[in-house]
Amino acid sequence: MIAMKKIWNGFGDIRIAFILLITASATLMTGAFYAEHHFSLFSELNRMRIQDWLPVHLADQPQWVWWVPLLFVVMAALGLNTFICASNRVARLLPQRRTLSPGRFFYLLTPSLVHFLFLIIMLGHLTTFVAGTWQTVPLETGREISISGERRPYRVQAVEDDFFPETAALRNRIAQTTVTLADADGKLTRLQYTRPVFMDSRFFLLDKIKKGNSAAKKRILTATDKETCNKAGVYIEADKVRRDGRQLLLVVSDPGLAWIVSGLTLIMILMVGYFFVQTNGAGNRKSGSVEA
Amino acid sequence: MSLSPTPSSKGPFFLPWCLALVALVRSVTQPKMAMPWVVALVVIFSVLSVFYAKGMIPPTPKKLSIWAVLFFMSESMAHALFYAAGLFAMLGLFRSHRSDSFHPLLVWGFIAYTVAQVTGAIWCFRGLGQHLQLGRQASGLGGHLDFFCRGVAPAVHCQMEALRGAVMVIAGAAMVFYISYGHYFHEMHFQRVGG
Repeated sequence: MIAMKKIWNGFGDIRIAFILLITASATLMTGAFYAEHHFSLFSELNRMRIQDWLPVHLADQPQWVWWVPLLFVVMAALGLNTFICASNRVARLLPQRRTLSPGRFFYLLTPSLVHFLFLIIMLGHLTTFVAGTWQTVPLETGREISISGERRPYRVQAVEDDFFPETAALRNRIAQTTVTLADADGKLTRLQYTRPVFMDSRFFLLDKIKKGNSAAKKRILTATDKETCNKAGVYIEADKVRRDGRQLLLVVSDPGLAWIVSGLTLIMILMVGYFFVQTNGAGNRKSGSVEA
Repeated sequence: MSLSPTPSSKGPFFLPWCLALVALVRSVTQPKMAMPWVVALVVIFSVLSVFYAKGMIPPTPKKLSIWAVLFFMSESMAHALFYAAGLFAMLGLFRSHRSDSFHPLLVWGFIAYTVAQVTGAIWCFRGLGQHLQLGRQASGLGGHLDFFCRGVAPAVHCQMEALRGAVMVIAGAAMVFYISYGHYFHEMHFQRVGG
């Protein structure tokens, strides 16, 4: 039992948290450099589950992807450390709940709540990595499209591009695209960029990301044949004639999204409240600090 | 709501305004603080913006979102607060008595950075179908790897007051500058219109 407690406290040591955060930062920075020079390789992971992507590339290109499993290990260790730190702090606070006013108790509890929310966010990211699905379907007016998991197909009724005005510096560039889908009952759904539609527990979005070399050929940027994350050139249509199959539909199922956005929003609210109280002197900084 | 992130809401141009706001607020709340140093930061970053590429990278429809504007603005405000915190931490090193004057700046910078994470995640999902886009940030709606990397240093400080130290704050501000201006200078080669 004593050994277990030693291990528990050892994992929850704040110095370990410090080392893990620095290691995570260094790993993320390393990953950012790899991702910059091998954009196509890592952008695949944006549309694939980690268990489908990692084994393949770890076998083929270990020199570029070695940091991904390391990052998962570091983040898992950080999660464990955070859980122990926050749990220990809550365990110390709980006996004081009768002697403190509810407001004061909640104020002191806030940093631990933030840490637990951080864990929920990390689990949300993990859920997305292992359980998210992304399906890309080419759209063409008049054609029927089948989406996996849907029993009945949709019909693409219209694909309309809106361009910036002729007088604008951005003329000939697409400002917005509207795609009208009709289901088997004739019910219409309008899709536009940045305005996803939630149907049947999935998000339907418009997309125009290209795959393979054809994307690079249509780019209008300075000479380079590598795929880039700057997509400014993809949305120009010099002759305003839409080429078949260019417009894509992205169907996303992301079970981690709600946890992540809710967690981040709650963290934001709690931190603003906590530091506002602290700044105004109502909170005792020492006793309200996040030290575990 | 369709609202494009204009160049004025992007880091190189919006950052000096954020720093000026920080200087203004601090001059009201703490008049004894070393304001000329913050004003010097405003001047330095303003000079950088003068030499920065003018015009805007043609926005894709995925960028025409209020969330993109909110992301760029909150990110710039977070950076401004980190730089100001780094500056006060550095000034504190040259003084005999220990000063915590940088702490509130760092804390509010961390909050602004959380706002940027929320707005960036929503924008990224609405535009790309992912709240976390893997890849190094180059077009704004790009990578989040180093975005999180930049957040770690202030996280280390904010979450561990026991290890609070000016050196960590200065290192964090330096990292923020290196990574964010690395992007900005990289983006100078992108095609632009107007300006």
